[in-house]
Amino acid sequence: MDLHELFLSALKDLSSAEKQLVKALPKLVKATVSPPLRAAFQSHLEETKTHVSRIQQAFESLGAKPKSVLCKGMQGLVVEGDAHVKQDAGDVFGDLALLGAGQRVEHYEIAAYFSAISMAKTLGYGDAANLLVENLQEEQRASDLLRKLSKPILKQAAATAEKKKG
Amino acid sequence: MPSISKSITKAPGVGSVNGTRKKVNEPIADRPRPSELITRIHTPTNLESNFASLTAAETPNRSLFVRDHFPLPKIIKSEWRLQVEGAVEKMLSLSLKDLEAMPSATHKSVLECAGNGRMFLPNVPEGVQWGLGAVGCVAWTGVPLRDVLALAGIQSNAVEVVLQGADYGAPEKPLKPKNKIHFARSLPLSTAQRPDVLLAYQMNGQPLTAAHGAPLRIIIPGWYGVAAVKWLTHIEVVRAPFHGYFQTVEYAYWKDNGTHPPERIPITQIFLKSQISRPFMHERVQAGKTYQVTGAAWTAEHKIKSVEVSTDGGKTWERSNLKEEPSDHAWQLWEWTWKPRSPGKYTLMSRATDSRGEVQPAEHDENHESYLIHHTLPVTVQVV
Repeated sequence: MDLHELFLSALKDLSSAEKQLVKALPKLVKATVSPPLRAAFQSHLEETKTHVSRIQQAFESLGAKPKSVLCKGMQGLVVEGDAHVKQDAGDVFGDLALLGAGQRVEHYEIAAYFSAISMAKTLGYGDAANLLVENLQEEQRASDLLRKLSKPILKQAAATAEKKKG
Repeated sequence: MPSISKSITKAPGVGSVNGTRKKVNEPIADRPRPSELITRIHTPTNLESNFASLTAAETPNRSLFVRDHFPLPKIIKSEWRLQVEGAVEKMLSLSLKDLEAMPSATHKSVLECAGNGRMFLPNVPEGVQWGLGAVGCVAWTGVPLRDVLALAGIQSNAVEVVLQGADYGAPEKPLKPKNKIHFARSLPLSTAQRPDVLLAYQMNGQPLTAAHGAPLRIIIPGWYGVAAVKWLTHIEVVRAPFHGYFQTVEYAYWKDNGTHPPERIPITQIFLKSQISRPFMHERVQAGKTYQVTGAAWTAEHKIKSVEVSTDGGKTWERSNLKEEPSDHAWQLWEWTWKPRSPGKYTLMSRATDSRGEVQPAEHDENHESYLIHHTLPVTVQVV
């Protein structure tokens, strides 16, 4: 394996990760109670569809055929998210669990994009690098938004827990 | 989005890519393309010029890179005013017609993004990963800032001038103000008094385009593009130095002072630099035939004295020909004839020296973070 092949394999992994997310996010949207959190998942679903498209463009910029190879890391995160949808969703605590699942996904993707962009830059693949940078920036913004939205939900969860105790 | 980017956008949210690409090792960032500009970031608009197509001393307006920080502001020309306020004797509110009626000046200068060349830094520093194309050279026309300041009358205790644009939004870095901000930068009064610092309303003899700050932007020849505030609406003369977001959190760096602790200072003056336009990265060059290696070099306040070229990764250097007389703040085009004898991989570099004897460094200074990338940049080519 050389660096070029390693980069293509990172692209295939990212392609799979984003495609899995396109399927998983609608379940989170449906299961979320908080309207702003639901809107955040919905809008990130739209962004994620664009991410799949940009990864395809990154392949094409190298004269390579777009391909996906199963990303097991994302598969695991999606399985965990599904479990929260089935077992926990429906109240403020369920929302917190879904928010946590979303944050794990964003952090995982951010790490994967950092690694892939670094390789693209080393190889001098300017277009591929910048297409992935656009995806990375949207993942970072999504992560920031989830962090911001967690504050009122945490507050509400604490108040609800206190009420239950009393 | 400005209309210039529409023609090169393949699909909504997707960067322009040329489907004719054949060789996997040919990076698109630097090769000749049919489009004048390459979309780097869609929102806000960030477009890179194709440095490999450099041929003229002036960058055509349609080919000049675009660096936006916030969404394009909507400006109605007939309602637009430039407010001059703060530590002045008389506040002013000027229309474009008022400014156009004043004596104008034209000055050719390089406009370079402080992050130009970020593609050449390792890992993923924050910001647009520019290749070689976040730079251009333009003849700017406008009213000298000092003439407008003289109309308003500067109070004796003033120290700086703050320039604010109509563009507005939430900055990207975590260390930021709670509320949205306008793009703003300051310059010392001594710089504001220079005759070549222009409130520009024309570029290369044409009115400024929306993407480039119409109806008015400030141009400080010899300073990085970040200081060239676009869509200018307010000039405020201040009595204490301004420490706004775009000159402290972003577009600033740690300056090593040797004897006392490093200081965070705003990015202002352009650093000495040269770039190769041809060959482009991973271009295939014929062995045994002559090839014109071309490029440009620029600096602030001094003149380019020489540009050397290396074809062995910086071990040995040959002097190139400067194509015209050096001029203040404009870039200097250069060329050098190369005849590669045998096939193989070659790393080309260019290295500029200015009139005070300063030479382009071999490596990036980490104190400059992801800005001021002015070291000798490698261009790898395949001789076949």
